[in-house]
Parts: sequence; structure tokens; C-alpha cells
Amino acid sequence: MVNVNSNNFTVVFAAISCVIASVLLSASNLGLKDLQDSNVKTDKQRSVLLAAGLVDSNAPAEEVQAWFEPSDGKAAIAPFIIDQSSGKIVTDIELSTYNKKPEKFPGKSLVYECTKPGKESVILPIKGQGLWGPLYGYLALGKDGNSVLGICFYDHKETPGLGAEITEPWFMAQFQSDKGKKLLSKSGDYSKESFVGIKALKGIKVIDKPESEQSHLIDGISGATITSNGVSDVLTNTIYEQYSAYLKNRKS
Amino acid sequence: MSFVKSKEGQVLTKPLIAVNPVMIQTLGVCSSLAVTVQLKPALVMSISLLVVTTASNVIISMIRNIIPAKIRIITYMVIISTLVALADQVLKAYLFEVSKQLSVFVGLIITNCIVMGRAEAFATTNTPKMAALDGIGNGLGYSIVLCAVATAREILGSGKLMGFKVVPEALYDAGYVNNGLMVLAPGAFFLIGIFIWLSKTFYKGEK
Repeated sequence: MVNVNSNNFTVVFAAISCVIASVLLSASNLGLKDLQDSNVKTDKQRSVLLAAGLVDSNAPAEEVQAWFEPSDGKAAIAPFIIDQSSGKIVTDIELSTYNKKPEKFPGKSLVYECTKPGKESVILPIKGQGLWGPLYGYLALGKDGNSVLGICFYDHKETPGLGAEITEPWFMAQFQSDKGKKLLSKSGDYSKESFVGIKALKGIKVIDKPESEQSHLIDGISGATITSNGVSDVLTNTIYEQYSAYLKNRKS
Repeated sequence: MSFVKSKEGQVLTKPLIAVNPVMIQTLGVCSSLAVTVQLKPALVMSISLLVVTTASNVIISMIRNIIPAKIRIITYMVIISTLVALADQVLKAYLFEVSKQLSVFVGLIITNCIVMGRAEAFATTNTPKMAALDGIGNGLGYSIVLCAVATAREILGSGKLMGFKVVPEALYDAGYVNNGLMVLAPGAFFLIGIFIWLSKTFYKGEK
């Protein structure tokens, strides 16, 4: 029997155990990668549909995929890449290249158009700044590009019970179409002045505000001011910068 | 009763209450605070820890005679982190929703003192069979506390259990409100503190 405490054996033992561990991990990573990627993809697609109120949160993966990749090839929801300043649809960038590294394409954004009759909507990916990290989600607008249909955050690092309330039903319900939230003020064009967006309130409830302002306000989350501010910011400034030109083009 | 009295039975059942890793030895408190806001993630965390502790105990016990003493701790780390990384991959592939909720805490099983503690204190000096029983026992002991804390926190903090409403609507109408403290880490501190106090009081004489 070799001396297990000799230096030679120690080095050999360390090397062998590292090799075994790395082979195991690489194998599991390779073997499960497809499944994991498709989970992430389905989760994002589900959020798109949830924002637009097209499925409920327990919908099976097949139902979700059917909206994007149906068997007959005619997808009800199609993604486009747009140019933020001109608002035009960009065709010379492959969707798969964009999705791999969106930050490599400054000034470009992704939008989803749902063309299903009776359910026409435009769904905008949004990225805000929360307390502990970015908030990723989708905002769905009606075909007028103004009235809000819903919101859904799919990735965030906020505190459970506080900032993480943005994914709770009561918070998301505030954006549903029956609440009549709108992005634009009465004049209805996409200029900076009339693009009001939606703000989260602090210390006061929406119902205590004058009725004329209510369509641009939601209840904030007490104890999560920074998260609420992040949501306000993305729904007023960011969304104006990224999508107003596209929404304007789309309407005309 | 004979199994419980036997050596194997003692190894398996003692960590459940008498030498519970969380309540008596105060190990693994960090994750008990973090993943106990709701019962479901706590359950998955318990199962993951149970599997990892048992597997690492068995593997370490099998190679206990050839692990060089100088690098034994780092060898445990390699084995444990490989197992945890595997568990994380499997969760991401098959239980995506839950792995989203657990996020970093699966990775933190590596630093859970229970896994490391049992490897060094038990697996290195016992047979694989005993080590497996010890791993299961300690994993279950941890699970009991985790699920008890999570149940209390979910009911008091959000009025639900496993995501279903358990506090009747009539109570809210009568002015009852959910306890916001319970969804934050300090709420778990208080609960675990109470658990530790109770168990130390009850098991004082048995040590």
C-alpha cells in the first residue's frame, strides 16, 4: 500500500479528483444545456404572454410555445428589432445574433407584435433599475400604442416581501386593461410633453388622486421606494427614449 | 424500538431532535433565514441538502482511507461543490420555477456548515453505510427546522401555505393584517431563536 500522506500521492490524488469533478460537471452541463436554455426561453415567452394577458401563469410550455412557434408556421406573435431614434424596423440584424448580446447593438430594441384578431397588441421589453439589480420585464400595449394591457417582470433581485411585490398579482393587476392606464396625455401625440407614462405613488393611494390623473398613476410599494422609483423611471423616461418613435411610426 | 436503540438507529434518529444540527448545534442558520419565507422553496432546499449531505458523506466515507490528511478539507470541498453544482444544474433543467426562487441559495449549500461538519466529524471515521444514515439523519433534522420555520413564516407573513390562502378572508375584514416582519430575515431570527431556546430547555438533561 502506498503511503497516502506522501507528497507524491497528495499531488496525484489532487489532480485525479479535480479531473473527475470537472469531467462530471462538463458532462452534466452539456447534457442538460438544451433543457435549461429552453426553460429560460419559455419563461421569457410566458412573460410576454402574461403581460398581454394572453395566457395564465400556469399555462403549460406547449401552449406558450404555440404562440411563437406554431406547427402551421403562422406565429401569432412575432419579434422585430427596431431603431430607437427613427422608430423603423431594422431588417439587417439577425434576431438570433441580437438575442445573444443585445448590449452590442446600442440604439436598437426588440418589440413583439401580436397579430391575433381581437387580441392585437404590442409588447415592449423593459429594463429598469431596482434596489439590488436590474428589473427585466414586458409591458403590453393595446393596438393604439397607448392604452396599457398589462405588465410582467420575469427577472429581478428585489427583496422578497418588499421590492419583489412587483411580481405579485395585486401589483400586476394595476396595469390590466380594465384599469384604463395610458401612456399619453389627452393630446395623444408622442411628443415629450404629452408622453406622461406611468408613475408609482408614495404615501398616497391612486383613488385619493384627482380622477383626471389616475390613468397615469399606480400604487407604489411601501418599504420599497427604490424599486417603485425604478418602475416609475422605466415606465416614463426609458420607455419614451426607446419606443416613442416606433409607436409613433406604427400609428401613422 | 430495537432499530432506534441500535447503533444505526441512533445515528439516524439522534440528529432529528436530540442533536439537531440547527437547533442544538446552530449550524446552517444562514440558509434557514434565507429560504424560509415560503414553504415550497424551503422544501426543495431541504431535499437538495439531504441529497448533498448523504451523497457527500457516502463518497467521502468510501475514499476515507486514501484521502491525504494534508488536503482533506479541500478534497471535501471539491466533492461537495461538485455535488451542489450538479444539483443546481438538475434543478435548472427540471424544476425551473423553483430554481428561480432559490437562486443563489442552492450554490450556498456548499458553504452550509452541516455538510462540511458531517464530512469531517463523521464520514472520515465511519463506514459508508453509517455515513449514509448520518447524512440522512442530519438532512432530516435540518429539514424539520426549515419546514417548521417556513410554515410559520408563510402563514404569519403572507397568510398562505404552499401558495394557497389559509387565513380566512373574514379575519382580514375584521382588521387582521399580515405580519410584515415575518417576510424579512429578522422574523426568521426570532423564530429560530425561540426554537433554539425551547429545544435547549427541553433537552438539557440528555446531553
